[in-house]
Order: sequence, then C-alpha cells, then structure tokens
Amino acid sequence: MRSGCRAGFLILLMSGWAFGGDGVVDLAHRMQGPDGAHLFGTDEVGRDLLARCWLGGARSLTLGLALTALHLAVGVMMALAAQAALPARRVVLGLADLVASVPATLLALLLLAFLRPGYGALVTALAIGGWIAYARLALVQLDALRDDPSLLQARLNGAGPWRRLRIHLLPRMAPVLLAQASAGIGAVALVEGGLSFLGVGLPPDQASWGQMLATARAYFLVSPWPLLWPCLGLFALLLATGPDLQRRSGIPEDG
Amino acid sequence: MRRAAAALARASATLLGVWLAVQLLPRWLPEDPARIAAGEWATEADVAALRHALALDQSWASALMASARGWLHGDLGLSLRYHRSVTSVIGGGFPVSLRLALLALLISALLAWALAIPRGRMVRALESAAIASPVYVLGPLLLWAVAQHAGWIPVSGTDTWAAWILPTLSLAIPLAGHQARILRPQLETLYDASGPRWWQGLAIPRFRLWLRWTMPAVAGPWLTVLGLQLGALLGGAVLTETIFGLPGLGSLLVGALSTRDLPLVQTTVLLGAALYVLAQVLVEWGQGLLDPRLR
Repeated sequence: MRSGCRAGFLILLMSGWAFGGDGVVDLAHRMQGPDGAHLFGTDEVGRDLLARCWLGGARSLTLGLALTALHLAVGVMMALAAQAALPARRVVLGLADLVASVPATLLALLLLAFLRPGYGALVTALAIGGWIAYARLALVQLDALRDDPSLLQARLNGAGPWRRLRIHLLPRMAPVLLAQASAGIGAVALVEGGLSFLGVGLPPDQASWGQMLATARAYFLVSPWPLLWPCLGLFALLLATGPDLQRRSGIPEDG
Repeated sequence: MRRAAAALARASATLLGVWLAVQLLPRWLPEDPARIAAGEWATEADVAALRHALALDQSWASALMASARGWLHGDLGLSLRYHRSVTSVIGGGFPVSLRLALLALLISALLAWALAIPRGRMVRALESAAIASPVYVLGPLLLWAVAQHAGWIPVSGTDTWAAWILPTLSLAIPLAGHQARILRPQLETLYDASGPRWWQGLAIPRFRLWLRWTMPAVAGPWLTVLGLQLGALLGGAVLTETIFGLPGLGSLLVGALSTRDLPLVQTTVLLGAALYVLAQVLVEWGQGLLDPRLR
C-alpha cells in the first residue's frame, strides 16, 4: 500500500512533462494565493505555480532516474574491472578515494564553474562522483561471489564471461544495488536542487524546484506559496525515494 | 593505531591526487580560465597578463614546480577577487565554517540519539521527515516562520549566539536524521539481544549506563557517519552559508567560483578535501579507542 503511494507519486510527478509548463508571465495576477484559476497560486511575475512545480519536479525526477542508471552502469563496470586484475583494483579504489574526498556539491560546483553551462555540464557534474557507492557495493559482492561453486560450475560448463555476468552475477547483485539506487534517485535530485538553488544547476529559464526556492526567498513575506510548494515537492520526492523501499526488498537498513 | 596510520598514508596519497587535479584541471578544460576570469570586456593584454599571473603561460611541469615551491613556503598566491593573499582570505572564513560545523554536529548528535532511542512509528516518521528536509528547504522555511514574529531570533549575522540558532538547526536536522537511521537498527538489535532487560533492575543511573554500555556498543558505524558529515561541513557548508549570509569558506567558494578566482578556488577545494580526509583519520583513531578489536 505504502509503496503503491510512492510509485503513484513518482508517476504523477513524471506526468509533469505532459501537463506542466514553465508558465506565462502575467503581471496583473502576480503573488496570488491558491484560487480557482491557479490551484497553487502564482509567482512573482504571475506564472502558474502548479504548472511550474509539476514540470520542475518532472525535470528533477528525470535527471535523478537517468543519472542513477548511469551511476549504476558505471559503478558495476568499474567493479568488474577492479576485480579482473590487482593493478586495476588499485587504480579504481584509488580513484574512488580521490573523488570521494571532495564532497559532492563542492565537486559539482567546481566543474560547473569551468564547463560551458547547460545540461551537458550539469550531467557531468552530477555523474562524476555518483558511481563510487555502487562500485564499492558491487565490488564487495563480486568478492564474496568469487569462489562460489555455481560460478565455477558455469565456468567448467564453458559459459563465457558475458553469460556468467548475466545469468549468475547480476541477478544476485541486483537487490543490494537496486536498494541503493532507489535512494540514489533522491540523492541526485537533492544535489541538483542545491545547484539550481545556487543558480548553477538547470538553466534559469526552465522551472526547477531549487531555482523557484531561491527566488521565492526574497518574496515570502508578500506571499509564502511560491516558497511552500517547492519545499513540499522536494520533501515528498525525498520521502518517496527514501529508505522504506529497502526494507521491502529484505535488506537491512544498515547493510 | 595501525589503522589510523594506514588511513593517514591513504589520506596523503589522496591529497596529493587532489592537489594535482586542482592544479592541472584548469589547463585542460575547454575554455581558457584566464579569459573567463578576466571578464567580457578584457583586452588581449589583460588576458595575457592574467595568464602570466596564473602561470598558465608556462608549461604544466614548471607551473607545478613553482606552485609546489610557493605552497612549501606558505605562499598560496593572490586572490584575484579580493586582491589579498589567499591565506588571509581563507583565514577570515575558516573560523566561521569551523564554528558552524562543530555547533551543527553537536546538535545533530543530540537530536540523533533523541530520535533513535525511543521506539514507535512516531519517531520513525520524524526520522524520515528529517532526512527528507534538505538544508535549502529547511533554511528558507525556518526564516519564513521566524519572519512572522520579527525580532524573535536574528535571521543573519554572526555577532550574537542567537544568530547561530537558525543556521545550526537547519543544518543539524537532516544530519540527525541520517545518524538516527544508522543508530536505530543497531540499538534495536542490542536491546533485543540482551533479552530480559536485566540492566533495568540495576541501580545504575541511566546516563551512566548509556555512556559505559550502550554508546560504545553501537558507536562504530555512527562515528563513521559523523566523520563523513564533519568532513563535508568543515570545507564550508555552501548552501547554509549562502542562505544565512555567513562569511565562511562555503560562501567564499561560491564567490570565488562565480568570479573564476582560480587561486582561491584551488586552495579552498584542497583545504576542503584535506579537512575531509583528516576527519576520516580522526574517526579511524576514535574507533580504535572505542573498540579494542580494532587496535
């Protein structure tokens, strides 16, 4: 039931691509509270808050999903490379330590300052450190499965590396990695929101929660709605991708 | 001690890597950092002068050597934005960040235990809510709530202790949620494993029991999280400092990035990384103190 609620919220948010919008400037109706014409009210230049929140949420969620998939793929590949040979292991673990020693928001800020602004820079900045958690998790599991009899059996039966990976390794690694990935979607949205808040995330002409929050801070005494809705949206998104999904898949929270 | 020594060795290697990265990366980026830093209306001569000042016109090897020599002598270069030495600029911001980090961590640790010890759906819900409230949501919301009753708590500044309440709280609450999430399952297994709570019959004060028995038994993973959080905070809480206008390392970095102040950016990032790994070394050492198996 509760996981149904979460999935429902995420699908609803995703439909922002179809129903949301960046809004039309309408200075005659700015800073209005919720009413029949604008269910969530309007912002400081009269744009509809419902449409902006909806599309902004869809953007955050899409970035979260796409980047988590990328992190997962890169992480597993790094772990496979690390397990293949000792020198490769040193390189991968050293690289992970190196990147992880700079906090995620700091690293992203640094890259964004020196890359051409746009989605390419944002994706690079968000992608650079995200793979580490998945690579470390996958490596622990690959090490545990290294001497597994079923893998030896598969090898003796002449199964190639791709087949061993697909049939024997990935299905067993999936639960832990996917549990991490569900929280990862929220984590990407969190960093993206922070970057947009600072004005270096999503482009300023495109609605995003972080940027809406940053703008609304200046006007909250006039109308609190432009501040409250994005706050509520982020809160709900982080709750929906939060750790209860892990418990359902049978993985202890501290695992 | 051996674990701490190994961690120290790893940390030094990592820092060397970060130093090389911040020195060399600007050279290999698609856009010339000197041109960006000089601004839109700079003449070719200005850009050339800046390239010379940033040692971008030298080969990477000689620039690296010059920078290393400077660093060893304690000269971190001149900030392009403030026209002062980077050392003095950072020296002004670091105490603010340090105080914010330590305050937030202390409050978050207290909150985390308060959230993790009681059982029930209510505290679990609070824990999830704390995790789902990032600082850039809590900060503006707290400001809005306080603004309804103007004069209650100062909303910016660093002069009075009261001015630190809002930044500390908005930083500490999400951190406390993450700590409680690590603590709770461990506390539950600890209490369940001890079967009938024989210790409740002993006439030991509760706080003493917690200090001597409960806390050391579950502190390992908690300390790890605490160390990660401390490390991330020491380098400057970028968002919190921006929201509350605190002149710490975080707002210095944002300012330096927006004006492409390369020497200040390089030093701030390296300092952030150094404090981050230092916090981890401290945690390794602390865990050895708490858990004799790790010595």
